[in-house]
Parts: sequence; structure tokens; C-alpha cells
Amino acid sequence: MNIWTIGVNSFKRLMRSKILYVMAVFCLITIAYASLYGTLTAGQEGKLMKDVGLAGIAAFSILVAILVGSTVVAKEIESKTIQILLAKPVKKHEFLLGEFLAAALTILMMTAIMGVGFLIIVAIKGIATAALVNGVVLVFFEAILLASIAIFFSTFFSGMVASVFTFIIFVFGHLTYQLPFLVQRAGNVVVKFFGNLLYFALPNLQYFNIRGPVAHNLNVPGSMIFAVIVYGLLYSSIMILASALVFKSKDFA
Amino acid sequence: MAKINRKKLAILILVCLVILLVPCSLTIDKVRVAANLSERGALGFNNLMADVLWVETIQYMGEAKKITDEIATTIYQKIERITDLDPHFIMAYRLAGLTLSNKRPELSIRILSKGLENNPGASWEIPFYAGVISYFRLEDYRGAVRYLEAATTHPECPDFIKRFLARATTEVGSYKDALLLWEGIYEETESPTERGIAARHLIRLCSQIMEISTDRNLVAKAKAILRKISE
Repeated sequence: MNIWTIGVNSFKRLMRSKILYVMAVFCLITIAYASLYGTLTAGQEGKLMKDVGLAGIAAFSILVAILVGSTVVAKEIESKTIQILLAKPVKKHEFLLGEFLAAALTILMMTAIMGVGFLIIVAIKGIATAALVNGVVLVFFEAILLASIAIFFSTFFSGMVASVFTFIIFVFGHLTYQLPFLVQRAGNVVVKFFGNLLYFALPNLQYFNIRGPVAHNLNVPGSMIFAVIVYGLLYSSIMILASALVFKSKDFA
Repeated sequence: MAKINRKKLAILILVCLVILLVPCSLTIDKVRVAANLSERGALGFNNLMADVLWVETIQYMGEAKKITDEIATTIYQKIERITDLDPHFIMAYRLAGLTLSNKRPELSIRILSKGLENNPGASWEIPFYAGVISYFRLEDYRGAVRYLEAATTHPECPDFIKRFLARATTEVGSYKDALLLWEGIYEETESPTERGIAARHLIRLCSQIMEISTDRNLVAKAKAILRKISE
């Protein structure tokens, strides 16, 4: 119950932030603007619109996730409101889960606004497909995963530092797919071991990127989408549990 | 005591979740490879980058009044980059295949082969263009047969490509296959014109087989087909 109350209150606080709405509107303008480039694409207007739309939703959702994830806990610590909250019968892990819930709800709201807007625009153009929804759903889970990483960093760094580190993880997360090639070519056993370790330890964010295939209307197996969602939830759970363990040992007095 | 146990339990759950992550990751890797969904980098924005390069390439091609060797090489390099970022960009392969076919047919074949490899069965145009360029520009009849065969496996492949394949198959000396292909066209077509074309080719092919082939079965088949046509 505490988790829900904290989550909803923090969500309401986050949704009062005008920057989120500006980002959503900017994303929709970008998608609509892409249609103006139709004449320059030699008959690839539909593809361009889908690519720009999905990339725009991904970019803004990830930005929201990093912003919200790195500030939702850090702000409470920096403004010392956490002391008031923890003075009440609220456990530290409940507070953390509540803040994660707030971040998740905010990302859901923002992705939904941009996603529905995008689907309306492509439907008007007559190029909407059901597969596009899968692309947007996986963007949401990628953003959730990044928010959990941002929360993890914000338990021992300031909001600014946490967002920088989360961005670095985002970059590496999209490059981990190259690690198996490195492992294959490496002759050294130590390099092989650390290569494999890094491959599984870092989030493989490329899993969530099905934007290309869905824009081309290619078949993406439902089992893969399900496995990626499970992967995202598993990784987020690990990050939140690790955050709770770090948070537990912290003294806010 | 209970506090310590809760902490231990949390660590245990954490370890279990980390262990679970490995089979989950391996499963996704397997499905992605099977579904040909191994995407390229560009931080997940590879398709958008490909689109930007595509628009740029279209403008470059539009500004070029004549395709010179230098321009053809630049176009090839641009399309290579585009298709590295978006391996399913069929239009890019098609456009490059056509644009480069005159000046640099070998580059045209290279890009079309890449398209075929990345998108098997997705388009009949890519293998068809590769077949035409191999046949007419490079005079590589075996290569042309290979590409045209790939084109005919596509359900939307137009009938004239089957006739082209049959002709190319005759050129490489695969009389048995050519006979089968022409016979198939002759029997399946509903158009009298096409039937006439097939009959003409069959008569020529059967005569050729009877003249030069040592394969008794093939000669017998050619004779039977000739009889059928004359009826």
C-alpha cells in the first residue's frame, strides 16, 4: 500500500513537469514533419515516416527514462524530503519501489502519448500496421530498464552523475552485440572470460530494437518479443533489488 | 537475526535473477539469428541514419547528369553504408543495381548479391536485376541462371522471367533443365502467344538435343515433346 501511495504521489509530481509535455509535442511535430520529406525519398515516404516515428519515440522515451530515473530518488535525497518520508512507517525499499513505480508510470504515459500520436499520423497516411505497436512496446521496456539503471546509480551518486552514467550504459548497451565477435577472435582466456562476463552483465539494449523489421513489415516472432519483455523485467528487477540493497545501508539522518 | 536473513534472502534472489538472465539472453540471441533480425549498431537508430543517407544519396544521384566511373563508385559506397545500417532496405539495392549496371556492372552485382543474401525470398526484382546484368552485361550465363532461379521462387514473379530463365539455361547447356522449363511454360500458360513462343523454343531445343545429345532418355523425351507439339 505504501509503495502505491508513494508511487502515485511521485507520479503526480513528475507529471506536473512541463518539459515532459514539450518533449512529447516536439516528438509528434518531428514525425509529422518527416512527411514533408516524402518527395525527396524516391517513393520511400512510408518507410521514412515509420523510421522517424519509431526513432523519435525511442529517443524521447529514453531521454524521459534517464531524466526521470536519475532525479526521482536523487531529488528526494537532495531536498531532504526523504527524511520526512522515512520518519513515517515507510521502509526504505518501499520508498524505492514507489519511486520506481512513479518513473515507470511516467514513462508509460509519455510513451503512450507519443505512440498513439504516431499511430494516428501513420493511420492518416494509410501505412499503419499492427507490428508498429510491438516496436513501441519494446521501446517502453527499454526505457523502463534504463530508468531502473538510473535509479540504481542515483542511490549513490547525484542526479546529474547518475544520468551521465546511465547514458554511458545506454551507449554500451547498444554495442554489447559486438562482444561475442571479440570473444571469438580473442586467443587469451582472460579476455574471453571478461568478454563473456561483460556480454551478460551489461544490458543488451539491441534486443529491444525491432524498429527496423517492424518498419519493413517483416515478421518478428511473438516468442522473441515475449522473451525480450521477460529479459527487460528481469534486468530491471535486478537493478531495483541491487538499489534496495545499497539504499538499505544508507543513513539519511 | 531476521534482519540479516532478509538481507541474505535479497542477495540470494539477486543471484538467482542474474543466473536466469543468462538463459533468457541466450534464447533471444538464438531467435534473433533464426529470424534474421540481427541488427546493426548506430545506438539503435540505424534505420534513421540509413534514411538520412538515402535522402542524401537520392539528391546526389539527381544532381549527377551522367554516371561516370567516379560517381558510380561513390554511389556504391553510399549504398553499401545504407544497406549496412538497414539490411532490409530493398529499394536501395534495386536502385543501386540499376544505376550501376551500365558503368560498373560488377559493383551492381555485388550490391544486388548482398541484397539477396540479406533478404532471401523478399523480392523478385533483386535477383532478376542481378540475372539480367549477369546475362547481358557480364555474359556470365551460369550466374544469370542462379539469380533467375532465385527470382522464380518468389510467388509474385512475372511469367516472362521463367521464359528468360529457360533461355539462359539453354545457353549454359543444361538441356535437360531447359526442356523441363520450356515444357512447364508450354503446359501451364493460358496465353496463346506465350504458348506459341514456348512451342518455338521447344522445337528448336528438341532438334538440338536430338542432334548432339548422347543421353537416350533425353532424346526420347525430346521426341515425345515434339510429337505432342505437332499434334
